Amino acid sequence: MNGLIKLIEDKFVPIAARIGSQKHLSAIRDAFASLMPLIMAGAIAVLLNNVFFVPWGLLANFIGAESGFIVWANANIAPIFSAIDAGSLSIMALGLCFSLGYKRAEYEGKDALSTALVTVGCFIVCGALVRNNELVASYVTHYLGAQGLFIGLIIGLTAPEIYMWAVDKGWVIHLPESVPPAVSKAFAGILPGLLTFLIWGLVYYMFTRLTGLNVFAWFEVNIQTALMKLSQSIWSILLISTLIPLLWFFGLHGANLLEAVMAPVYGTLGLMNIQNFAEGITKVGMGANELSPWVRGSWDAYVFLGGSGATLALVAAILLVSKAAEDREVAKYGIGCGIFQINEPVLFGLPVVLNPIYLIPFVISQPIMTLIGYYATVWGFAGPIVNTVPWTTPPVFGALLATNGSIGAALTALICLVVAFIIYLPFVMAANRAAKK
Amino acid sequence: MIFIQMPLKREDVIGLLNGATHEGFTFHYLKQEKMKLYFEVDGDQREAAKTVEKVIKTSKWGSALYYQVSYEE
Repeated sequence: MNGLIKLIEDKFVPIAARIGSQKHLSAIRDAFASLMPLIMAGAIAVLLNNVFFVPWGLLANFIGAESGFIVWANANIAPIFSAIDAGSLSIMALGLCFSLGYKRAEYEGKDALSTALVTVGCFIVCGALVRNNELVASYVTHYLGAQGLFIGLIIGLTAPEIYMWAVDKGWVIHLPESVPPAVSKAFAGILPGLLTFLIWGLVYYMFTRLTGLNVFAWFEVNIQTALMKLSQSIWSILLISTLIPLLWFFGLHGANLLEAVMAPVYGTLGLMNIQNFAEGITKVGMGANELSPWVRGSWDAYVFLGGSGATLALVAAILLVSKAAEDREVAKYGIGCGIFQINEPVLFGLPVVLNPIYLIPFVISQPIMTLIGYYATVWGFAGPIVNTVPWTTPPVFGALLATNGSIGAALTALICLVVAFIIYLPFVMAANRAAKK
Repeated sequence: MIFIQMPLKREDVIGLLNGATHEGFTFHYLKQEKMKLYFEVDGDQREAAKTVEKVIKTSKWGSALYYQVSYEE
């Protein structure tokens, strides 16, 4: 094991560190993280509507869509939460552009606010305000939300580079020192801003002339759909599900290293599911106007049960069969945190990290639970993820909420937990025997 | 006392903290038990633990590592 650790420290950590601290990837990760207030406000608004107030919601299933309360709530309460959604989840791409521009400039020690504003401007220049797609999500009439996230990401990464390059070149208007700093700062951004707008204006013009579509529509038709289909391949999902615990096990920060891929792809699909469900779409599939079977929230619902590697099942197995006093102590302490999906006390306390006994169950339980959750959704036993719930929501209940009350989803999460328990059980017994010796 | 639990780069962390002063806290390495490193530091232990987290995170390999910093008054 020591040789392996040395190999990882010498060969892998420097690469992982470069990925983890790469400025553009860090900006993507931090920009998505800074959108949390928008995501949560929108998610709660949509969740409340979907559960209580709309005729296709959970409550309406029990009391009837024509009941007095649902009719009244749909007319008087649902519009308030729909308005919140319009100003939060539905402008995610716009928010991403702003925060990416801001973070990139901040990391380079440049004027973050001006860079962010110019970035947002370029996003609009490219045609974000108008969407006309009769085939996919025809109810969305702009690219400010989930449909514009990929182009938002590209513009959010490139526009700040152009702007900051022009600033570095010294193409700025210099004002006398007697002018207040705020004014001279604003003037300094004029020429770089103009250049950045000009380049994106040119991109807009060229795309429209050559393809007949603006850059958003072209990307949506030619690339986004294929990318989304690739992301829904069980092999892509299994690869991520296996990599996450493997990285954690060897002491590498799995979330930091994979977030820059997971957030734009699976986070976007999650937002699209929320939007589509709010429009009454319920069919699961990979085609147009369908709900994606696997999104960001699917991992929380079916895989991270008690944290990465479903360690709640491990804790339960220890409490049930282990006689090792130390392990039982850690498990007793860890169960409270585990219910809320936090597993650091267990990962470091037992430990699971770098513990050869737990390598196999910790790493293989995730892909197995992924298979169960994925196929339960594809085959219609579990409802798709259509709500965003905080990742700290307890297992099973989280799946129930995220799928808007699908009993099949809750049962699937429970089955995943039981399967993980069965996987961990022989290894807990082995650890028990090792402790006795 | 500050405890750092980390599977990788423990020697580097000892080198980074032992005898060094960060944000007014001077850390002294005491011992290692499995993957747990113990450091002694004077002053507010909670603040010192926060400083350790920051120091490791901003090191050239910190963003890639999984670790936990805790303290005991």
